[in-house]
Amino acid sequence: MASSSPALRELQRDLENQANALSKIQKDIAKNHQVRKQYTIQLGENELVLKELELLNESANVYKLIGPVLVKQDLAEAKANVKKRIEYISAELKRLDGTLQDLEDKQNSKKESILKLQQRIQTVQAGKAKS
Amino acid sequence: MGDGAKGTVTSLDALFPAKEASRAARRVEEAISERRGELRRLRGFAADNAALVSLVQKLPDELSHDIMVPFGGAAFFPGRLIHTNEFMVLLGEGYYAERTAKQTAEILRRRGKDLEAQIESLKATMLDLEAEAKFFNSTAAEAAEGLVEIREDYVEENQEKVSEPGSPSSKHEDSSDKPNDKDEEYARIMARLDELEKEESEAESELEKEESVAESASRDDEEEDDAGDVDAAPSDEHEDEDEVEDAVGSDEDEDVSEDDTWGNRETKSVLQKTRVQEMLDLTAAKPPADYKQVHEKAAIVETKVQSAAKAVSFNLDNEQSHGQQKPHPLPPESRYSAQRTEGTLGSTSSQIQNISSAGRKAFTGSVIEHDHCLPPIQSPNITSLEEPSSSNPSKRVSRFKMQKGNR
Repeated sequence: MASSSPALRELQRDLENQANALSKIQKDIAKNHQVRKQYTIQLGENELVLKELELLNESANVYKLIGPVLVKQDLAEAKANVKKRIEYISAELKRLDGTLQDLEDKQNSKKESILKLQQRIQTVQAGKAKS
Repeated sequence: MGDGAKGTVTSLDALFPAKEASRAARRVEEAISERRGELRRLRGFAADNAALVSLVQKLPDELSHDIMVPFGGAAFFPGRLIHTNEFMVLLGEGYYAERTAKQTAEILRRRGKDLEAQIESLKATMLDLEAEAKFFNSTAAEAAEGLVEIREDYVEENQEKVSEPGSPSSKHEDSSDKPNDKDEEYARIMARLDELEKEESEAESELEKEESVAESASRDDEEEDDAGDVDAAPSDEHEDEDEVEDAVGSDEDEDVSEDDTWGNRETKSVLQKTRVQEMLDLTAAKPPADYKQVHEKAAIVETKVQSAAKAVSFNLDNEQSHGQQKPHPLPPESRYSAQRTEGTLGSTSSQIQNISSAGRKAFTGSVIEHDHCLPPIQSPNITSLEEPSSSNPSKRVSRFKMQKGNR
């Protein structure tokens, strides 16, 4: 009993650590989701802007709001800028997707290890009860 | 437990704990309210957009408008709005474009369409969530009521077994209380069914020949027969088509469409089950044999069988709480079987024959569901269904008698 008790305590400590790690992973996943949502919205907006810019004829004036200043911009330049931004956001999204996948895998493996730990604790406790 | 199905009775509460179900329901409801907030926001945007479009269209009407210009936080001064046809439209991401009123209105309209599309998709997700919430709520309510899920093994033998993966919808609290009684009865009936099956297979070949001959004849008869057998309801396929329709309200046009018959049979079986049960009670000794015979000759005896079969079917139903999964193959079989049970049974059969010969051609195919034990009968049953139990009651009776003699 005395020998199993510290072992049991150790197991439980392990379990706690694993549980903390798991919650951290879950928080990361949530953050990832949040950022992904932001990026997705921005991507949508940029695509909308590009669509409108395409519809403009060459003579139209395009201005960009930089801080409190409205700066006149060339139509072609504006289109190029928006396109580059779209590409950048898509790349970011893909990167985030990869990270998300990794995090999810880690989360699953952590869950499994926690389960195993719990089972071990149960068996140890059962053994203790018998003795 | 008897040699009937070995089942487990689990309280629905164990599978779907009431608390958890209600918690899940609450979570889904929260998601729904979130979506509702989003929906309100989007609708507000759409309304603003519409107002803007009308304003943009009105402004160019005048060269200049006299307005009160806001100055600071709490002051206004009178001023004039000029260049009424030049608009600086925000395209997004800090990009503005100079456009005329018409072009601006078009941009706004396109934006409005996008908003509408978003609203529609949001509504769709909300519907899904609501359906989920309803399911959770009902499960929670059911679990709270103490519904019990009954799970019985499916033994693929001649004996009929109630094999139904316990579904939450199985609300047979009674059966869970008396499994032993039902099992014994069940086992008995199973044994009978085995015997009947053998006889059936023998007679099937005969029947098939006869059926093919009678098919054309029976079809004509179906339409004309108006035997007012209200009791039989979905009994005779050919004869009681009209009756059945009236009585059951379902289309008994077995001849017309086989597909429909399945559904009809289901309803019929439901109606006939009670009748079969009676039969079962009366002929507790030989239900299996009867069923087989019924398959082959469901004509006249059917009507009578209905009453007798009521008992049988009812008993069977109780025992096979889950056996109703496949009513399709069963209804025709049960009908026939119901008739047979009556025919084979001593006193009951004679009664049945008398009754049936009385002119009631109701197909009392009490719905005895024997889909498990009588799979081979299904095809012949279909054909036999098509040819409404031979237009000749005498033929059936004779055949029936023949079978009786064979036994």
